[in-house]
Formats: sequence, structure tokens, C-alpha cells
Amino acid sequence: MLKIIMPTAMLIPLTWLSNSSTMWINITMHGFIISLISLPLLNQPLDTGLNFSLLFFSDQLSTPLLILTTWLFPLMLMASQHHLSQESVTRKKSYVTMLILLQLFLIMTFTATELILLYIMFEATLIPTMIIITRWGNQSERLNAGLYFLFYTLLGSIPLLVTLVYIQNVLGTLNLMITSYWIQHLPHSWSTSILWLACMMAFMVKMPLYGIHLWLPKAHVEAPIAGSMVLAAILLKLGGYGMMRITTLLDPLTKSMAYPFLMLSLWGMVMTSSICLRQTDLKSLIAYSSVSHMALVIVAILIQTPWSFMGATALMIAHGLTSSLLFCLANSNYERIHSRTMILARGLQTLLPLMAAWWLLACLTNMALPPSINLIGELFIILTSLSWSNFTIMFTGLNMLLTASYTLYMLITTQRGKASHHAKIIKPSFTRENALMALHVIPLLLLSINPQLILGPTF
Amino acid sequence: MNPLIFSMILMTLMLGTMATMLSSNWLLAWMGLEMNMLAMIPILTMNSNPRSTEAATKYFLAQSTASMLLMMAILINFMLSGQWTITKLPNVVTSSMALAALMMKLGLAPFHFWVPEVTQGTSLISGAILLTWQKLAPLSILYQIIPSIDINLLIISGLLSILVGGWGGLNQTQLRKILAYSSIAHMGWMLIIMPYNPSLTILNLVIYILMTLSIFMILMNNYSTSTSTLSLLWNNTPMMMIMLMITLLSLGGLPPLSGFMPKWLIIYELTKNDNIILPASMAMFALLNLYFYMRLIYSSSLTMFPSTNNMKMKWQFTNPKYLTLLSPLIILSTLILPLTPTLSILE
Amino acid sequence: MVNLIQMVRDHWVHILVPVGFVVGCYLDRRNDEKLTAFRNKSMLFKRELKPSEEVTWK
Repeated sequence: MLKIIMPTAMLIPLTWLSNSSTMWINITMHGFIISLISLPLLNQPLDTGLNFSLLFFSDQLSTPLLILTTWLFPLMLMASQHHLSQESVTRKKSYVTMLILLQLFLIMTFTATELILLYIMFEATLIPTMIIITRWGNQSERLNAGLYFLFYTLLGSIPLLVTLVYIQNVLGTLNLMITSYWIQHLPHSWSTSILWLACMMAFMVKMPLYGIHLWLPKAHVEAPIAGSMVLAAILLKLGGYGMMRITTLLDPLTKSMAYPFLMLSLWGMVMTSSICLRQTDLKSLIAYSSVSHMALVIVAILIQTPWSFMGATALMIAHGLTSSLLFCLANSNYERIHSRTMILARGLQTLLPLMAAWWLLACLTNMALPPSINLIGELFIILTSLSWSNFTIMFTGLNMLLTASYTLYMLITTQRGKASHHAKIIKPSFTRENALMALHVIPLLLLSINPQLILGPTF
Repeated sequence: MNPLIFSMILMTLMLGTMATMLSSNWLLAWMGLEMNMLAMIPILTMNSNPRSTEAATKYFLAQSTASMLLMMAILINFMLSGQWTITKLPNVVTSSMALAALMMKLGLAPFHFWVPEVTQGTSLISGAILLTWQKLAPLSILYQIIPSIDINLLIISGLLSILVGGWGGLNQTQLRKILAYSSIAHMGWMLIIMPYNPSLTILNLVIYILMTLSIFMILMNNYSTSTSTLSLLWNNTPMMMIMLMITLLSLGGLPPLSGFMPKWLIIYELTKNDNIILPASMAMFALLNLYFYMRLIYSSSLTMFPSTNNMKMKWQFTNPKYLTLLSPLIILSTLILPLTPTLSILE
Repeated sequence: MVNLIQMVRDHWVHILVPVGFVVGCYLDRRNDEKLTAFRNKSMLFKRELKPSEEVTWK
């Protein structure tokens, strides 16, 4: 694993030693090289995953997420070039350094063998993200958003730390490779219920579960483009990843403890989809749509069948790419219209036709139309939840309908209609932006040829 | 101050602490504490103004009360047991009295009220001495008598200190007061872990001293004592601003910075002794501290405070301060978390 | 010649990430060797040593 971590760390000196003129191209290129280096990890011949050392391992669950992380880093750089163009070179470089640090921490989170290392790196991602949100956000509300982001996550994860340390004391280890063979069942009692809650809450806050999701729209709306991208694409997946890792420890408890959270996320996905229907703010709409999609992932993880795990993994990857793509599109609008309000950006189809094509593709994948991998994820999840209980189809079906409606609402409001006067002097779309969208869409479509890569360890 | 006199005073300060740490006799230890306290007073009034005199008076009153209380505990102990050796405090009255005295010296809740007041009244350098070096002597006595002290009392006051340290700082804009409250909170952590694993107290103390010293040295470098002057750091020394941010986050105990190490090990030790609620609530209360550090970070480094135009060129003037110690201090106070596995020798 | 030096001065930063990769690979390799040094002790994965072969652990 060091063969990915070391080059990523070397990106920092690369950033600071590059000329200001060649900085962006250098880091982006080497970012792509690193994601190329990480691709061979997809070859997983063993069921147990690849053990690299005592600290790092990767299996079918963490590899797709890891590759998503390394893939999104150059894309984030491509997306932030324009909004940083007014800043001084030092500030650009510190911004990029924050992104590199974030990527470093994320790689270590996804490949950690020890749960405590996972915890430390999970927390460590907070610092660069918080700095990106609060230093480079646009409005003054960003300060509030940063605090919400930091303290929601910290409040959720302190019980997790105490519980992990407790488990370490009981079991003598927190190594994921060993704890997965721990077959002693937890008894049903108040204290084990609290243990379950403490373990899951940190990740549910991060997912986020409906009800504790308030930090997410704030953070998304205020963050600069790279912050939104990494938040939607990867940081939310940390929650799902952690939940899937830790449920092996909490075996029979999840069956009974999951009910309230299942209900909450089923209810929450309908609610957040309905919230999307009445949003005027583009970024906020995409953020709420993330919450609604993540609710599906929570449902899948809590049901705990092989199929649902497959669906959860696939949807995490699919949503990572789709929401990041939507944020990029929203940002390309924002850079031209200078407002996140959708109605001000109406009628862009006539002005930027190619961009409208990307919008259409993004919206179709967000609605989970075939042949995107979103379809695979959502289909698996809806099927498993149906076989868990027939009543869930009321919520999941309604949610499909609402998702389609708000996605079309977003598409129609931004693309169709009569272009407003202030929009007629906008810049055309750059090659950089088109390449950025293409690099999001291509993996989304290509992965549906061989979805086994992202179906996780239970395939 | 005359350099000769200043060095003499500093020597006395150190001598007092050393005498307390090294002696096994109650009377000598007490004497060391007194020497330490009396040497501290001229340091507190180094640049003499009414505020520092007030601070020194407050310090003197609180410390001498504590000393008298400790003397009384020692004498009662002598009366009951007939000996001056430190480790023996068989009586509940004497041990509680000694604990109260030492808590007053350390500035632990509910005897914490003097700490912010005194720290605010003095210069930054004496504040740094007050919040770091002055903790050593009382803590070393506490370290020796800890087996005879009632554990419930310790835990209650430790928890109260963490809470008060977090709560009190929320409303402050003065940096020295904020640091004083953070010291109260950290002292609470040290107090709670002491009966379980005293070496962790030392570890926590060392890391706390490193972090506080580096923050004080950064502040000394540009003479800022309030949030508003701190927010002008960005046009003076931008690097220092980043360092301050990281050190403050480390002081708040965010992983992967070294401030997390003592917190993690303390939580580990407490859960090993079947305490679950206690470490969880301690860590929750510590978030209050993090909140006001975050406010400092916001005003100093994450936002750009508007400043008059000529101030933007402040970086052109070289700062005469000579800060060799600062960089190793900052490195130590932020980056030593990966060294935690080597600490298994503490077990 | 001057052009070459100029090119090296302009583009030497590109060596950093490959160097990181090589160092990372080397460290990974060394770690693998450390982990597999004792494999012949395991009953499950043990194999007969060839006559000239030495044990992998010392």
C-alpha cells in the first residue's frame, strides 16, 4: 500500500516546487498516474483480500472506494482551477496541499487494518475538509457550516472511540482481519444496545442518517467545488464503509437494533426527496439528493444480506461519481451566473448545448436509468428491502418516483425555458470542463459492463 | 528588570520546584512550594503596572491560602502519625485537606477562579511560566500522595475542571484567559487519570506543556493578547498563523495531532478499569474547549480580518525576536502521535 | 547542452512522484519479506526445503 501512499505524499513537494505556470498540469498528471497505479488492486484473487502489511490491506469493499478516491483527486483539481484563478500562487498551492493531505488520509482510512487507525484517519479527514470549507468557501455562512461539520462528526465519533477502546480491552485486538473471525455472539442487553449505538452512530452521522443530516446541506452549499465534490463522493462513503466494517463485530444485535434506523432512513429518503422538490438552490438540491440516496445505502447495510451489501457498495460508487458530476455541473453554472439559484440559470441549453448534454446524462444517471451502475445499486437495494419486508416498497417506490421528479425538475429548470438576459454574455464551456464531465461519465458507463468490480466482497 | 536579579529569581523558582520534587520530607516539600511561590511574584510583576500588581496579589493570596491549608494538613498528619514522610496520609481529613490545597495550587475546579485572573494580569512570558512550570511542583506532591486520596473526590473535581475549563473559555476574547481555561481543563484530565496510571499524568503534562509553550511563544512573537490582535497575524507572519492553527487543533485533541495521544491513552486506561461513562463524558466536555479554539482559528487563519493598508506590509520588517526553540516545540506538539506505540513502556 | 540543463531545471519535479512510487514499492517489498520470513514455520504452508536451501528465518 505504500506504493500508493508514498507517491501521494510526494505530491506535496511536487506542488510546492513546481512553477506557478505548470503547477496545475503537473499535479493533475501525477494524480492520474497515481490512480493508474492503484488500478491493479482491482485484481483480487483471494476472498480475504490483499494483505499488504500489518497496517494496510484492501479487499473488494475498500478497493473500489480507494480507486474512487484516487480518481477524484485529479478531477477535483480540474474543477477548482477556475475559481482559484484570482488567488495568489501560495494560496493555490496551500489549497492543493489540503486536497493532497485529504487524499492521503482517505487512502489510509480505506485501507486501514486496525479499527483504531481507521478511527484516527476518519477523524483526520476532518481537518483538511474543514479548512477547505471555511477558508475557501464563498459566503460568511461557511464559518457556521464548518463548525456544524466538525462538531456533528466529533460528537458522533467520541462514543465510537470509547467503544473501540473498550472492544480492544475485551478482545485484545482491533485488527479487522482477526475480528471478522470472532464468532462469540453479543447478548441482548441494555449495555450491548448502547455499544451498538455507539459503534454505528459515528458512521450514521457521517452518512448522514435523516435527522442528523443537518450539517450536510450547509457544508455542501458553502464549500468550494472541490470540497463539495470530495464531500459528496468520498466522505459520505466513509460512513457506509465504516458501517459495513463494524457490523461484523455486532452480529446478532443489528437484526433487532436496526428497526428504528431502518424506519428513519426509509422515511427520511422520502422526506429529503420531497425537500428536493421545493429547493431553489441548486447545490442544496444536490446535497439533499445525496442524503436521500445515502438513506438507501443505510437501509441496505442494515438489512445485512449478501445482496444488500452488493447493492450498497455499488450504489456508493455510483453515487460518488454521479453526485460529484452534478456538483461539477452546478459549479460550471455558478462560475457563469454567479448564483446558485436555479431559476437564474434557466435556458442554458440554448447557450451551452454540449453542457446540456452532460446535464442530461448526469440527470439520467441520478435517476438510475439503465445502463448506469446506479441502476444496479438501487435495484439490488430495493429488491433486498422488498424481500425483507413488503411494506418497504411503499417508501422505496415513492422515492424512485420523487427522485425522477426532482431530477427532471432540476434538469428542466436549469436547461429549458427562455434564457434570461444576464445569461447571454456568459463564457462558452471550456475543454477543461467538458473533459471533467467526460471523466465522470465514462467510468459510470464503463463500469456497467463489468459491475463485478464494484459489487463488493459478497459477490 | 536587572538581569542579575532576574536570573536569581528564576534560579529560586527552579530551586523551589526541585526542592519540592526531590524531598521526601513534608516540611522541605512545603518549603519548596513557598520558595517557588515567592519567586513567582516578582516574575508576575515584571512589567509593573496596577493590573500586574493586582494579579500578583491575587496569586499570593490564593497560593498562601493553599500553603497554609497544606501546612495544616501536614501538621494534623504529624499529630496523628508522628512522622514527616510524604507518602503517608492515613487519615481522611488530612488527605482531603492536602488534596484541596494542591488543587488550589494547580488551579483545579472548584478552586480555579484565580487562574484566569492572574494569567490575564501578567505579561505573556510570566503567563507561560505560570501555566507550565508552576504546575510541576504541586503535581509532583500529588503524584506521591495519590494512593491515600479519595478517588471519588478526585474524579468529581477532575470532571468539574474539564467542564469549567470548557465552559469558562466560551465567552472569552482574551487569549491569556482562554489559555488559562484550557489549562484548567487539561489539569482535569491529568487529575482523573492519576489514581489509575500516574505515568499518563506525566505524559499528558509533558505534551500539554509543549503545546502551551509553543502557543505562548507564537503569541509572544507578535505581542497579541486578544482575538482582535491575533486576527491581524495573517499580514504579519503567515506561516506562524498556520502553525498556530495546527497547534490549537492539537491542543483541542483532534487526531492525528499529538494532542490526541494523551486523550486516547487516558480513555484507554479508564475503560480498562471499567469506566465507560466517565471517559465518554470527559471527551464530550473537551469538545467545548475545541469550540473556542476553533473560534480563535476562525479569526486568526480561516478568515481575513480587514486591516489598514500600511499593516499589510508589516512582513517587510524583520522581527528582532530570536525563536530557535519554536520550531522543535511546534513539531513536537503536533506530530508525535505516530510515536504512540513506543509508549508501551509506560504500561 | 544548455537546452538539456534548462530542461532538467524546468522539469526535474516530475521525478518526485515516480521516486515516491519506487521507494514505496521497495518498502512494500521489504515488508513482504519480513512477513513471509516465518512462513516455513507454519504447519499448513510448510514445504520441504531443498538440500542446499537454508531456513528463511535466522
